[in-house]
Amino acid sequence: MSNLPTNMKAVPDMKKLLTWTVLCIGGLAMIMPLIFMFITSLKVGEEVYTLSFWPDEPTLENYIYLFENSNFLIWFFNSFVVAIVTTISVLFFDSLVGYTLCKFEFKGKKLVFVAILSTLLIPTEMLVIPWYLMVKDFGWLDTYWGIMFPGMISGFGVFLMKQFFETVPDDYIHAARIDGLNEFQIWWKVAMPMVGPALSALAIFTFLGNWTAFLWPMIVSNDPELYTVPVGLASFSGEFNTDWELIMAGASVATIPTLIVFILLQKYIVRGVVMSGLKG
Amino acid sequence: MAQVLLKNIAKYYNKTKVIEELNLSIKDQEFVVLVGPSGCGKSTLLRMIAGLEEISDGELYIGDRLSNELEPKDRNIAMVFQNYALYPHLTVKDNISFGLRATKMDKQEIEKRVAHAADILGVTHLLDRKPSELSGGQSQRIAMGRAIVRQPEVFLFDEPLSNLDAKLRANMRVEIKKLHQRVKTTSIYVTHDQVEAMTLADRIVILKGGDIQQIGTPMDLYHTPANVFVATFIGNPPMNILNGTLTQNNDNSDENWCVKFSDTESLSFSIDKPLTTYQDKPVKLGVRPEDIRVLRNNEQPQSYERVFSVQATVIEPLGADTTIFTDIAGMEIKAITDGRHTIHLNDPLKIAIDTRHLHLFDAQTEERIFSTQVSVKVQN
Repeated sequence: MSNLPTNMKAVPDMKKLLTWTVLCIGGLAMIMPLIFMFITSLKVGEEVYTLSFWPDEPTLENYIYLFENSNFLIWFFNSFVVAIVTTISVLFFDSLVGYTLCKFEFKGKKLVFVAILSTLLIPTEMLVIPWYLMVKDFGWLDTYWGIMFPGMISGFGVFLMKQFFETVPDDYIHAARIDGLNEFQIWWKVAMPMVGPALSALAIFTFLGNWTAFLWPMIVSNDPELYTVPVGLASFSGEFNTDWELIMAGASVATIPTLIVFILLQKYIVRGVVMSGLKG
Repeated sequence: MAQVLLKNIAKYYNKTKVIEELNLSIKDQEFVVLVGPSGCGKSTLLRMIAGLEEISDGELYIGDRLSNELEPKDRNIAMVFQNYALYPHLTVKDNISFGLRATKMDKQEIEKRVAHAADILGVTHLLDRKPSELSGGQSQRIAMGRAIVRQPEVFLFDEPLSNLDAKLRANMRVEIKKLHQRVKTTSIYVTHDQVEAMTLADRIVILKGGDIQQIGTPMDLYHTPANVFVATFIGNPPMNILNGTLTQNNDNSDENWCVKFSDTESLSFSIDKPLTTYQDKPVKLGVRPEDIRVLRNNEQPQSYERVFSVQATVIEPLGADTTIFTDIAGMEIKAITDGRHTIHLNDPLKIAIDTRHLHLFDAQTEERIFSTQVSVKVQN
């Protein structure tokens, strides 16, 4: 009898060990490219092409070159403007549309919702051509507006916000209506504060999505002064030569804001994913 | 303060009628309780008065104003919700003053009103807390505070106590009654709990399927129910309903009428009303459990009591009282007896039905034919 508890205890321990092993391998696989990126950014010359874990002579030369001899700071600023403005816009419009679809009854509501959802099914690559034609017609080529406009409102955000607004009981809205607030005030003062986690999650998804966006900003901006970080870094890759060490140094710097966002708000990311059943 | 008048009020959802031609007049300062089972339309009616649901047909007057088209904020009402609807991101003080701030009222006046309401409800020490730090009873008080500060003409309560446990509910019932006695604002209160209805109401409106079954004081409804539904809805345990046939006694006894439950079991009683239209027809006889007495050993019944020999099938001891389940002619009945009276399961018992307190209903329409009960006036 005395052996029984020991045996029973051994089973969950084995399970735990297996879980941890798989998680560790997964975690390592995920973090390796980042480590490799950072290490490469400390290398110069031929050493860039070697697989050594640590450079013989680690140097910050690439970083200095990046800040002094390229437009990196401008690109960083551009990325920041694009990511912040689109995030604010998405938070405003997506929550407004999500709230309307959730709390109001009107004809064609379901159709509108399905139409918005169906935009999630279309890959960006397919949308690029119509976007480009629109941007060209509007004269927005090589402008911030041109880079930002496709991301100013997102179907995913509308869906996410609608799901979260479902959790706000109607009684709160009715109470506010009796208290004398108009519909816009009810949305802003009552409903919005109650979906804080959703707004945080959406803000993170949107910020990161726009911070790392490459295809559309590359297509719509030809002026190097308007490049975002990913497009600017790509310009280090020429037809005959690629400055991997500069790309890696730039990517390392560009990773910092995303890391900060992740570390500060990771619990909201998880909740946002769980609530929406989708990935940003 | 104001009276509320509902004239031919109707509510349709698409083509489904939820409430049809409902008329109700609520007097100034009156406390009216709308009560009924789930889906009877009581909450819909309250929300129509609040302006949260559109009125499909009819006229609603709050005070002297036709209010059908008025926005909720312009109806001069305040509502207490079932889940309290306290904004979680605001402090108690901000919750209470939320409506006043929305109307851009003078800050000093807001402070004064919040302090006064908090004082009435005994929540002054909670003003800086967030709703998540409050107990159910405290949340309930704050929700009432939010209603009080608006100094409305009419209070609307939508099942405000149903989220509380039994003990707290009983306490809050008293609080609400005290509050009404103090501020005397016209109040309309929705509940499915007949105890709340009985204890709080000046008048009760019983609803079923969107129709008013009866309007009256709690005692009127209890002692002279308009139909079987009201009779069985009000009272706990509910009134016993026994199916039988009404026959006239021809044996020159004092009891001129009799309800036959079976070939062997019947109950005779006297009444000075003509019942010939119902003679030899099926009827439903209603007897309240407290009007059925379990006789102790060798105890003799009173002259107005009719005795039946039965067996207890279920015994529910409640302390002060014990509810005995048994049957007459195969129909289950409940009787209430003194909690000190020891009775065992399947014991042969003699129960005595008090014929002074009988209710007779039409078997078809279930409408009341008569009640021998004399209603008792209770001053609230």
